[in-house]
Amino acid sequence: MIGVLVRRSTWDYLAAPSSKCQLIRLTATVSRRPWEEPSTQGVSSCGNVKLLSSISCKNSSSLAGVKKEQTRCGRLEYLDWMPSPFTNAGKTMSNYKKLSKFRLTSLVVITAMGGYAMAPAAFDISTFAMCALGTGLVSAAANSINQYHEVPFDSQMSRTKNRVLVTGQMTPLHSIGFAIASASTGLCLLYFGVNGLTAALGAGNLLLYTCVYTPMKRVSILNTWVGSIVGAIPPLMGWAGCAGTLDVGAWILAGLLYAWQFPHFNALSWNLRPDYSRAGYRMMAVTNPSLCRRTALRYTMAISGLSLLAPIFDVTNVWFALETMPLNLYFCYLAYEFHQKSDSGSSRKLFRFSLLHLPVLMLLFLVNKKNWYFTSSEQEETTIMDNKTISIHPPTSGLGSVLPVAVAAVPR
Amino acid sequence: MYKCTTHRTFGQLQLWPRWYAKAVENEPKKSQTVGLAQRPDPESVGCDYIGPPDPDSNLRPYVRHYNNRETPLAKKLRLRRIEIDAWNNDFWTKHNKRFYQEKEDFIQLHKNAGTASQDITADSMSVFYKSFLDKNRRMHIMYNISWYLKNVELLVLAFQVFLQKLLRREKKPTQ
Repeated sequence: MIGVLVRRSTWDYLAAPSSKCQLIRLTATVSRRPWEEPSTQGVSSCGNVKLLSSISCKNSSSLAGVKKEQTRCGRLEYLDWMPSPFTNAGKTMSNYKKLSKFRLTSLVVITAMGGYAMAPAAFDISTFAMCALGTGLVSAAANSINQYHEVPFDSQMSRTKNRVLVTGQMTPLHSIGFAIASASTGLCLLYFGVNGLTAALGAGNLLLYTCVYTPMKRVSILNTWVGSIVGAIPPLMGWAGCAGTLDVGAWILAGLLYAWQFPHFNALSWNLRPDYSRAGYRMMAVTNPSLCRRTALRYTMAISGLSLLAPIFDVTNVWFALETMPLNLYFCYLAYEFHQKSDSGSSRKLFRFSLLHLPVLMLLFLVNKKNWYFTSSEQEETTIMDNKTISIHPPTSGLGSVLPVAVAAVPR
Repeated sequence: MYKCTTHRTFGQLQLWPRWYAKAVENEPKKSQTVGLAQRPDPESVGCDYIGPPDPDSNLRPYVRHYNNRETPLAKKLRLRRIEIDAWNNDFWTKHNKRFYQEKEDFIQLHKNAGTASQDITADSMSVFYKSFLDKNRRMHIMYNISWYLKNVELLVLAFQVFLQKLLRREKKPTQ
């Protein structure tokens, strides 16, 4: 566990720390300082301390008192009582990234981009970029509001106690200001740059996450189901951004993501049961462990089933079902192991494989897409003509013949 | 001969960071400190300070700085913040004490029941976690509602104070 904390810490990893530094780092992980990052020149927000050095020191002060460590790593010391708000000079963006849960937001953007790429319609780079950026901004806003609400609960759990609002590095007003700016920019980008449906889905997702999921985490275990819906909407947004409508393929993709959330989250929360219980979060892993295990297994089977449905509904070709079968079967096997053994080892294996399973599944979905053209103009001339006005775009450049082109390009 | 030269160049490459490190080390070591070691006095600091987490409640205590030029609105915000911090601290201290006490009782009960295994398994502990959550469900919901309302109240006050400061700063050049 300490190893995990060290890996995820925000400390700078200097080129040649002394062995003493290493020891300090390991022993001090439990009470490490979240402000210890490589800092550049600047002034603290209080205006009375100047940060000059270019490398920060790993301070080993514990809860009891302050130890001044003069290591050859650096000259900066963070004492127990810090000004609030406080930003390491040049680290404003880093604070915003932490506030918006940047890694999680990037994953959400990737699923939205995946949804866009998989939609059977023309690929437009500007719409794609605006869809991705808009989704990212809306997700960042949702995460900021979540962190704003959960300050006392985050303080209780070791996983979250170093968040920027918990440690006072940002004020709640600042974080809400950021959230409002980010949400309005994101939604405007989606509405004016993409289309109304995507913007509506984005706004709905934001409301669902902040007003339904966040309070529900402390009320009922149904929050996991709501959270899975929240996770399944970004690819729908991407799909709607490209195609303008949500057809069967979109729902299958959303269904795959919805089902994936269960084994992913149940495996993750299994090892955090003591923390969740003390902080008062109602998760399946705590209140109903057998349901937790059954749900993980059930939804891995649902993923397998949905993967088989995709070729039937003409969303992908038949190879998709064959290619994903070993992947999904192994996922089911790990979920079954988790169901039988339900210890920390099997839960961690399941969680780690879920992190691999989703990108591979989405990649296979994309590669096996039905309307994927590698053609010249002859094939386009054999499009179906009917009463509707159709404009056929012959590929003008080499790239055009590779990208999927709409069979009938109707205005969105 | 070939081996010697490669070894030498490699050695030279390794020397470079050492020259740099030596240069750094030769400078007199001045320690720049950020923050304060002890809990500051509210009247003597220029901004709010946040301290290390309280061992019982796990919340970080704030010292809200006091300025004799503060407006009534800012004073209201400061006092409300202190009040809510204290309320939060009180709730979590009691809550965490109760949690650890009940956990100890549960483990003791388990040992007295005379199970052969020396360590209590995670699955058995989860019985305790579930019972703790169920027992405290109503209290958690009430705390949740109270906390959300208080948090929004503080946010609104903070926004009002922020606007007031902004308007005062804009007014000053015209005076």
